Amino acid sequence: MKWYRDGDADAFDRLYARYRAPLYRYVLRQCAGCAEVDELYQDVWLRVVRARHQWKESQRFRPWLYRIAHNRVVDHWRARGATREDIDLPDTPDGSPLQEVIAHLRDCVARLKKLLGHLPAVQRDAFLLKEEGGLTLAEIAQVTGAERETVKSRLRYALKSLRQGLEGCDD
Amino acid sequence: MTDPQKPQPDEVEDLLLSALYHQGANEEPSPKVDHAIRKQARKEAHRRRWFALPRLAFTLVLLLGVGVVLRVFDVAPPERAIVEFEVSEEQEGAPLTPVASSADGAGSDRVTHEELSTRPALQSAAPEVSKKSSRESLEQRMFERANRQPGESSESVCVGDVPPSDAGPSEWLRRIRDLRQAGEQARAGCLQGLYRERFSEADQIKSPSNQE
Repeated sequence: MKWYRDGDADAFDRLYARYRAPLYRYVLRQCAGCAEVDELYQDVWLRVVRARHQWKESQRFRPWLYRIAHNRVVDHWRARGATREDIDLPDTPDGSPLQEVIAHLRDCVARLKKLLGHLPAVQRDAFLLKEEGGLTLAEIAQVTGAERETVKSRLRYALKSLRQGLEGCDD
Repeated sequence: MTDPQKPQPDEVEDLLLSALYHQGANEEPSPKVDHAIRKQARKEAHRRRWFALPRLAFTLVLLLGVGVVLRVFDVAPPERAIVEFEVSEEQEGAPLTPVASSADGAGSDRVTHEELSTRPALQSAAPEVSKKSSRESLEQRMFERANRQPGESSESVCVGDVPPSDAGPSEWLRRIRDLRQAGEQARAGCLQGLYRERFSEADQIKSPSNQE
């Protein structure tokens, strides 16, 4: 980021290659079922590009990136006037598995994605920041502007809900 | 008793859950989106560089302009400063008069402390000692200049025209004007030089920014 901020345009490609997929999934899961996923994702990166001079070397890039993404997603929810809990996710196509194990696994993954879509927004956000962003509790607290203990509690509830919804997938 | 080293059942389930999540987490942005973002990032980086050039040039021009203006004001003090001095001297009452003091010449033509202490304007000023020494030095130089022998320097052409040391700027200006009207341009110019020197220094003494 430092190199890109200082004018090295190639540095952005390296940065982008590293974070593109997890960030895309973070936005996708937050906005699954809405048509503007690509637009939102693109907008997050554009904000990163424009705010690059505000990034300081003393801070880690990853939490900074996810804070921008988090804010953009929150803006999106507000603009729609609804939170994600109100939105039903479409069923994820699980393909046509040939083996029973693979079929079972795919079924569990699909269920997990669906369950994730039904979590309260703050719990889902905390879960995705941990799983996709790889952020620590303190970093999630920093990104979301919540207390560390609050984040811990949100994560605990999210995991509990997911576990309950995935009964039969632990074998 | 539970073993602290051994993971709790919930932790194991959380790890399994995390693994399951990552099994299905394989979505990626389309190449079209990737291309658009990279293109935009390059464009921004390039545009910023072009924006920086005129901004740099503008800053340089501004700095040079400010430098020139400051230099001009430094060389020729504004008329307002002279007028301010004129007004304040009238308020002060009698101007400073040089007095011969010790026989050895050290500190000759100094203004006495008693004389300074009688002037309210000078009393109210903060850096009393600094002001006094500057004023003393100015008075001393004016006195020496007025008493130089003819032919000592180019300023000697107007030694006879120098007003008494207690004369204010108006008296100086009147003499310069009279000399001009009489066609004595050299003497008028010489006197004007002395006038500038005296009153610009006097103005510096009065200026609060010149407190050292």
